Amino acid sequence: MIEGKRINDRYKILDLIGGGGMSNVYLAHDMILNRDVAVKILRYDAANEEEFHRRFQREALSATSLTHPNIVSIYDVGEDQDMHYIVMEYIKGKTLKQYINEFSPLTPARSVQIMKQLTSAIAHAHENQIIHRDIKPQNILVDHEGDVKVTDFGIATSLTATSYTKTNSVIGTVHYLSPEQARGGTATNQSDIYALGIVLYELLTGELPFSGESAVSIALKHLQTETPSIRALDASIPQSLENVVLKATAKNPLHRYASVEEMEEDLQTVLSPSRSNEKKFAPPIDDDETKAMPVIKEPLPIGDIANTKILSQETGKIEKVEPAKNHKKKKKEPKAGKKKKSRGKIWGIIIASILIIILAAILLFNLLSPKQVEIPQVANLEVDEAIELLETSGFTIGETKEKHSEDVEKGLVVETNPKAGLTRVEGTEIDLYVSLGTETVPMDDYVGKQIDQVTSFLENSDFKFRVVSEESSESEGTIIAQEPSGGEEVVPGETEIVLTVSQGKSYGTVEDLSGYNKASLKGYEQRSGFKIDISEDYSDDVPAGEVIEQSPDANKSLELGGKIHVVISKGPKEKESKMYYKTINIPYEPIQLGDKQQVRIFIQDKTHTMVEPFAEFTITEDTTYKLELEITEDQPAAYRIERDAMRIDEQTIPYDKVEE
Amino acid sequence: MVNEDRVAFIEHPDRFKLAILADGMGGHNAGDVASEMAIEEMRAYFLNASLTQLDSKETKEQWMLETIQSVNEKIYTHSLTNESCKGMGTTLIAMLIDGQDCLIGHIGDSRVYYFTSETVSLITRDHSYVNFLVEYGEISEEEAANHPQKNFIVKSLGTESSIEPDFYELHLEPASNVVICSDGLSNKLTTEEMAAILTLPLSIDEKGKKLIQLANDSGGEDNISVILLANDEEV
Repeated sequence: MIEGKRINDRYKILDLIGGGGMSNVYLAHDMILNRDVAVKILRYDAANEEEFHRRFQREALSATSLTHPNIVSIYDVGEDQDMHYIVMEYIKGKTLKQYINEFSPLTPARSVQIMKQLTSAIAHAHENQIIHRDIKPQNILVDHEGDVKVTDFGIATSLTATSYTKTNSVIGTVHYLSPEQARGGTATNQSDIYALGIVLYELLTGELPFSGESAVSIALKHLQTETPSIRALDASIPQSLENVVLKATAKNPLHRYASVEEMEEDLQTVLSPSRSNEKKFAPPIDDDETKAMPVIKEPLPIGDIANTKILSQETGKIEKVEPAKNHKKKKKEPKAGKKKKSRGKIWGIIIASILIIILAAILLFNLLSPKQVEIPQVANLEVDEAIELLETSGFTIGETKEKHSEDVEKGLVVETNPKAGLTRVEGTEIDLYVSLGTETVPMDDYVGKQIDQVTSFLENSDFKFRVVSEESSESEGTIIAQEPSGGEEVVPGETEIVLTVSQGKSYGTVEDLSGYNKASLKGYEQRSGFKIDISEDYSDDVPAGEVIEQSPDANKSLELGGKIHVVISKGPKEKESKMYYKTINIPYEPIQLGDKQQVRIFIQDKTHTMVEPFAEFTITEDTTYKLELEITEDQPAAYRIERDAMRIDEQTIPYDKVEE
Repeated sequence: MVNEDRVAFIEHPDRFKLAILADGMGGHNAGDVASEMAIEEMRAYFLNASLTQLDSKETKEQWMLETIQSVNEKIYTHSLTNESCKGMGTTLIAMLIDGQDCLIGHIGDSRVYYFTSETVSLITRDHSYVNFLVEYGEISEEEAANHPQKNFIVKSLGTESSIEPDFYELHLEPASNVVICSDGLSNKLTTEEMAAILTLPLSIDEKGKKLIQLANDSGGEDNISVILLANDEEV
C-alpha cells in the first residue's frame, strides 16, 4: 500500500484513482506548490534497466513540452528509489471510455465537438514531433465541463520497446491499433489518425468497429477487413461524418488524412448542410490493395507488378469469353422453335438459318474485331515498366507528358490517359503522365517585413508556419530571420516556414542595490543583464564599500544592457583640522621641597580622547610643557593638566577659536 | 531479477514420467507465484493419477486436459483473491512420457524442439501474437523477430477462467533429443545452434549447461530454463 506515503518528500499519495497493466494512477498532493496532482507510478521493476530509464525519461520529458488545453499537462518526471513516476495535472472527471459507456451513442454534434478537441490536441503534439502511438478512450479524460484532455503521450513505446516485454505479457488492447502497428511497423502521425478514426466510430456508435475473441483476430481485422459502415447502424448519421471515419481508418496510411490538421479542418465543416450530399468515401485502389486482398501464404513469385499484370490479363479474358456464352443461349432458342409446329417447320428452318448466319457473322465479327482490354494500373511504376505493361496488355504508347504530383515520386508514372481501369480496344494509344515531383515555388523573402502582414498572407496560403521570437535591436514585430530563406524552391503544402520575429528590446526591473558591495554588484551585473557603472564618494552613514545611491532607482524598469550608476561609500570624509600649540607652565609646588610631583596630561583632539593620560612624568622644579593639538571642525579640542591628582589647568578649544 | 521460470521432472510410481516447464508472467504481477503453483499443482495431480487414467492414449489426453483446466482454475482463483497476484499467469509445457510415446500439453510461448540425427523440428506452435500473424501470412518471420510485441502471448495459464491447451504427440526415435525451453533460450538460439550443441561429444548435463551459457552470452536478459531429454533420460 502506497497511500499516505510521500514520493521524493514532495508528493503525498492520497488515493488510487486508476490503474492499467503497466501503471497505477494516484491522486496526490504536491506539498510544495500546494495543489492536487495525479501521479502515475509505473508497475515495473526497472531497478537496473539503464535503457528503459533513459528512454522513459526522454519520452516523458518530451511530453512535458506540450502545452495545450486538451492535453493533460505533465509537471514532473522522476524516480524515487526504483519507482518511476510522472506527475500530471489532476483532472476531476472520467475517462472517455467511461463516458462512452454511460452516454453512448453520442450525437453527431457532440462527437464532432469531442473530435475537434482531440484533433487539435494531437495536431499540437505532431507539430512538436511527438506521436502519441496509443490513442484510445482509456487515455482520454473528460472533465466536468465536458472538455476532453489527452494523456499518456509517447509513453507507450518506452514501455513496449524495452525489457518490459522481455518477459511474457498478455497483450493489451488492440482495438485502436493501426494496420501498420499491428504488423510491427513504426507508428507515424498517420497511425494516430487511424486511432482517432476508431475513436470517432466508437463515439458515434458506442461500439468498436473490429471486435473478436482474441487480440489476434482483432489485429487481423485491422489488417484485412474494411471499416464497417456506421450508417448501416444508424442511417441518420451524415455521410460526410462517416467519411471522416472511413478516411481516417483507410488501411493504407497514404489514403488517410495527410495530417491531423487536415482531419481537424474536415471536422470543422462536416456537419454543415452544404456537405449533406457527399458521396461515400472510397480509398483509391492501388497496387498495395490488389496485393492485400487475397490472403496468400506463399510469397508471390514475381512481385506486385507481375501480380497486377496477371489480374489485368484475366479481366481481359473474361470479357472475351462472355459474348461466346450469349451465342450458345441464342442458338438454343431457334432450336426450341423448330419443335413447336410442323407448319412452321420450314419457316423455322429459314429463320434459324438466317439467325445462324447472322450469329455466325456476329461471332466472326467478334473474333476479327480487336479485343476490348482493361487499361492496367501503372501509377508509381518506372516509365519503361509502365510501357512494357501497357504493351503486354495490347496497347500502344501515345505521348509521354510531364505533370506535377504530390503523391508520386519524381520520374515515376502518375497516371494514364485514358485512365486505368477503363476498357479500350487493343491497340489504343495510351498517353503517359510522368511525375515532375511536387510543384515547387520560390520562397518569398519576408525578412524586414512586419509579422502581422506576413501572417495574414500566409494564413491564406498552403504554407504552414511557425513564429519564434527573439530579442533584437530591430523594432518589435519585425521579421529578422526566416527558414527556408528567400529564393529557395519549396513545396507549399509540405513546407513549414519558421519566422523569427524581433521582440524589440527587453526590459528588466532594477533591484534595490543598497547594501551591495563591489563583489555582489558584479554578481548582480551578471545575473540581471544590466551594466553597473561605479563611482565613489564619502558617506558618514554608509559603511565604506557599500552602495550609497543608485540611478535609476530600485523598481524602475531599464532595458537589458542599460547602465545603472552606483555610488559606493568611501566611508566618512576626512575632517578639516587645525593645529593648536600652547606652552603651559606647570609650577613645582611640593608639600615638602624636594618631593617629586606627578604630572598627568590628558588631551582630546582628532586622534586622542581624554580617557587615558597622554603624558605622565614627574617634576622637581617649574616645568613648561609644549602642548600640540589637532582640532577637527566637528569637535572641539581640550586638555587637562593634573599634578598629584589635582587639576591645575583645563581648557576647551573650539575649532573656530584657533587661528591658522 | 526474480526467476519466474520453474521446471520439474517427476516420476510416477508406474512407468510414466512428466516433464514440466512454466514461465511466469513478469512485472509486479507475481509471475513466479504462478509458475510455482503450476508446477506444484501439476506434480500433485500427476502423482495421484491412477494407472487407468494414464494407460491409454485417449485417457491420457482426457487426464491432461482436465488437469490443466483444474490447475488453470486454481491459479486464476488465487490471482483474484490475492491483490498482489492480480493478473499473474504462466506458460506451460507438460510432457507426459510413456516409454517412447509422449503427449505434450502446451500453453503460451515456451517450446518443445525435437532433434534426431538428421532433422530438427519445432513441435509446439507459440500462442504468441506475432506467431499467429505469421501463420495468417500477414507478416514474415523476419518482421516477427523484430516486432515490438514479439513477446506478447495471447494465451496463458491462470489469466482467464477457462483454458484450451494445445496437444501434440511425439514418438521418440532412438538417439533423439528433446529440448523443452522457455523463450529465454528460443529467443537467443537458432535451431542450428541448438543442434550443433546437441551433437557435441558431451554428457547430457554438459550439453544443457552449454545451451544456457550460449544463450546468456548472446544477451540473456530473460530467465532461461531448459529440460533436455535424450531418449528418455532426463537432466
